Amino acid sequence: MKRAVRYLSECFAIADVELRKLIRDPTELFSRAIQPVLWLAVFGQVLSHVRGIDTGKAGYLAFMTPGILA
Amino acid sequence: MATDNVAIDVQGLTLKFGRLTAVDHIDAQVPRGIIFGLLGANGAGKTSTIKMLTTLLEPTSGSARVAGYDIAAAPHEVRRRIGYVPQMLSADGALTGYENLLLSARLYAVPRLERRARIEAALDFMGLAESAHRLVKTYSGGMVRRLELAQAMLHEPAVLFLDEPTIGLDPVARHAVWKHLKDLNQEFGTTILLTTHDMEEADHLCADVAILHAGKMAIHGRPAELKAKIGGPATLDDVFAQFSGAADDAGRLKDTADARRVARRLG
Repeated sequence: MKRAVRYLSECFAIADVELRKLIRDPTELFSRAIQPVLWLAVFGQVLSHVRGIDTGKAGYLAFMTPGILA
Repeated sequence: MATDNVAIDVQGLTLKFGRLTAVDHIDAQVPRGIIFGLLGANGAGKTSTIKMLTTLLEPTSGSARVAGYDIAAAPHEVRRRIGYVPQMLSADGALTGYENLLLSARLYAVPRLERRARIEAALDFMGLAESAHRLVKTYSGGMVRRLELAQAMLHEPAVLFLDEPTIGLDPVARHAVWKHLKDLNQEFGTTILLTTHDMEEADHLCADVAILHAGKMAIHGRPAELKAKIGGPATLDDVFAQFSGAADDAGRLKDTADARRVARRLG
């Protein structure tokens, strides 16, 4: 129980810091979104066509999307 | 030496990365309340040692106790009692100094009612009270380092680990950091372990030094003893050259001494 409370308060502390940064500089919201979009839409498409990395049965996009969204 | 008087007790500590042995059976005892210098050339194993003692890396073999707790068996207890300032500047530039400290206070579970007073005391102690509400990206390198020291002392750690605390700082900022480290050590009795390859820094701050060479402890003792061992008007630079593998023969040792003399003449 105590550990869960501590975990939540630590998460809240990090979230609070990130929110402060976004409020201070809202353009961050945009620039932070660009990179994953770029990876999925541009690099993802290109690399999945090249088939440079063996990803087994799953396609390259299915392979990389969870990692990029994380 | 009784265990309660030893802040850091290292026994046979070893770290291997595949076939490379970064740290090779190190033994050391650091008495409580002193400033201990871990010296060595780049790649000698200083940072690996600090990372094991701060529980960030798991040793391949051997053991260590920090602030009374075993780093492998009770890493959480160790973390609660130490402060760590890594080599790379780590404060968040997009936050103010105060906000950086507030984050640390929360992560270290400083009680809510005490936070404000403790943060203000830490900022005051490090001479940052006037800059507390400026964004850290507008700070100078020396100010960021002092802010990180403030962050690391906020939860009143028993042992403070500093990885090359003054690297990249100008002489004025370097002396300011030294002064604050000495004050911290004297006023709160905090044991400090720092790594450096700046012999002037080691000589100025450390009661005890150990020189690492290729992962092994080459020599260990008080700066004055080590200098006496070399004989003549030796400086800690000479001791370092002798034991860090920087001089493989007497000729090269003389070369470094000459080079240093020239450097000093040129200012």
